[in-house]
Amino acid sequence: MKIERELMRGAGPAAVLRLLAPAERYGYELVQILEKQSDGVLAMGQSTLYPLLYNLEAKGLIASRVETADNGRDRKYYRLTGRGKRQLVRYRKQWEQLTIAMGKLGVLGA
Amino acid sequence: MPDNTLSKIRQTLQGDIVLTRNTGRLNWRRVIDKASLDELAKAVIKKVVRKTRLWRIERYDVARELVVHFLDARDADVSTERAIERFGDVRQAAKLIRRAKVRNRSSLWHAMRFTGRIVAVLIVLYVILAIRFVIGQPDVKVDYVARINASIKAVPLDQRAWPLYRDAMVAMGFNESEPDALVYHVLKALEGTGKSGMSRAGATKWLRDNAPHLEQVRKASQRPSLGFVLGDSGSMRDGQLFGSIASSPAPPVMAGVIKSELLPHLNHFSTLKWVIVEDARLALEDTDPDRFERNVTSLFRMSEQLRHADDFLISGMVACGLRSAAIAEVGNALQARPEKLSSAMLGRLEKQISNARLASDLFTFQTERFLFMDVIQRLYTDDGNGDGRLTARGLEGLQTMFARGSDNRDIRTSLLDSSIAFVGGPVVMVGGASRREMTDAFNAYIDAMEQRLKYPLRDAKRSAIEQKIDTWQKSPTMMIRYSILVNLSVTMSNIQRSAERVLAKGEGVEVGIALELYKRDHGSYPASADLLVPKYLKELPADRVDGAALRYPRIDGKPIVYSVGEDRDDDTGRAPPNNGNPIPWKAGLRDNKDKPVDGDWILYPTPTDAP
Repeated sequence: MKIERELMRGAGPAAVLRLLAPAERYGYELVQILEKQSDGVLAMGQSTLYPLLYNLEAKGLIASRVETADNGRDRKYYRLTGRGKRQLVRYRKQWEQLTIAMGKLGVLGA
Repeated sequence: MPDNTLSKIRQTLQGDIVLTRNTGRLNWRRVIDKASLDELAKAVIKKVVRKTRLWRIERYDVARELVVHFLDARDADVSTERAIERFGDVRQAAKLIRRAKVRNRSSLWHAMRFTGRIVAVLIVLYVILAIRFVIGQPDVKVDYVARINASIKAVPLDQRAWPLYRDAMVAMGFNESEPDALVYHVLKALEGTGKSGMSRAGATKWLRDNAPHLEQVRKASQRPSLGFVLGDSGSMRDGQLFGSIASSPAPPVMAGVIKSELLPHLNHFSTLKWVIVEDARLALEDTDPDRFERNVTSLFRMSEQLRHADDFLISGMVACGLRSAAIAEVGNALQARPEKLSSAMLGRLEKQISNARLASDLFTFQTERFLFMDVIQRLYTDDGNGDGRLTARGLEGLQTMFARGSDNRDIRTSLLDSSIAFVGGPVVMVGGASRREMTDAFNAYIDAMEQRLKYPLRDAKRSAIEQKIDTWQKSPTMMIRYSILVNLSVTMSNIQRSAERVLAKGEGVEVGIALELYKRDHGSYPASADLLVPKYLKELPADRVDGAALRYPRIDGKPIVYSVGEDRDDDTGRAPPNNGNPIPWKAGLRDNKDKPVDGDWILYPTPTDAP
């Protein structure tokens, strides 16, 4: 199901921060996990993901480093910063409250 | 495309350059070309990176990451077409990547970008204002010279005094182009300063030889109106009298501040005044009191003619000078040769002295309003609603006007430089008051000044607008904004003081006349000035400084009439010392630093130096 852009705009950052919480990851890896773990709902192309990552980095929520892999590729890895962790906690609370509110309104269905 | 050295340097990190290693590491195209991707993928990556328009190092970073992403996709058995499809819109991607990367730049860069945008906006605004300033044209709609001339020309020719004055002046050798004319030597000789090549006897002979012309002057003073027509086709076009000024282009009214161009006759009246004064003195020596009286009366009448001629303040100032000279001669004659002045004559002279009591009797600002409006219409545009903005053309005209006559060509040239106008114009245009603001402030100021002139100086209160102008004089920005009005106010603030001095001197001489008449009737001066009222004086004049009655003591048996002076300290009639020189009639007021001097202001008679 294609999610509308406005909803993705709100969900995307939270999803990426959540995926970076346990470990650092690289771009393609994030694309794969987002698609797989959300059953395709939060699938996003590079044109969306990389700008999102750069934005999160500009806000100081994530940080990056480049590592040369065994195959010679200079892969950029992203990790959550302390500020990012705190933001993730805020996102989580907001999403919980939003979900409860939508449920009460009947938006989430029976 | 192979890298040349310069290209390689441009794509090398600065650190490498410092270490003299020209690595060309930032060549993002090479990163993409070297990747083992098919050409379609490379093309997409190149397109995205190019469209980001980021810095070289940022593009390098993005290119490297996107290459790795496509390689990872290939490793996951995703076809190039599928990877490209999943990439998304190239343009949108480039735009979003750019936005995010720019956001990630340093605070300093963002501050500089913000400042740069502000500066760019200001520059654009400045250029727009400069263009508006340069292309703006003043709209000169009103011919104020014609307006002033309307009342002058309405007087029949045979009632205008100027033709008679003019003929007498020419006959006596007054000529603007001859500053060394004989009449000036005559006056210097009669002054006794020793700066003339003429003897006193020679000067006296000159006066007698010119008696018919002086009689013509006296006859001219009897006419009701001066009749000097201003402007291009007016009385100034008289080469015989005004020399080179007669053939100069006629200036607009605003050049009236430079009286020699629009009012060239005023200088001649100032000279004529002294000729009449000297002839009045000679008349007393000749025991011709009738001629003395006619000379003094002609000075009073000339003063009235000039005052009502065109209502310029400068004409009023010259008129005041004539009146002051007349009063001084009466006072001097009363002191030195009272026996030559009959009581009837003194009565007539007293009437002429007493016909002015307030500054508003001596000055009016009507033509100053015209002068100002002429300046405004030549400086500003006119939007039809009484408002407008300053123009380069207008300022150029104003600068030309005031630079005219300057010997410094460089100053004139720089003032008129249009490039300076373009650069400085917007500041002047925005910083200066609008047409409406300037006009409103000026009208408020003139209204207040006209009201003030109706009161003695001691009772005149500074109006709100005058207080405002006082604060403007202390503020550089307000000085620029209202410079025309602030400069004008400095001149005008002295008008009332000048009038007060003439009026006070007149009152002093009036009391002197009354004392003389009393003495003739009673054999001695009165014990107190109250005894002069009402037969010899309608009322005792008040001291123009402190409002008390003028003081009238007797010193060495002779009465003096004095004011306490601007130090407001009663020195019992002691004038400020002047090292044995004649005391100027303004003594007792202020020094050349505008501070009140210590001493009283002797109004009658002319004082000698205090012991």
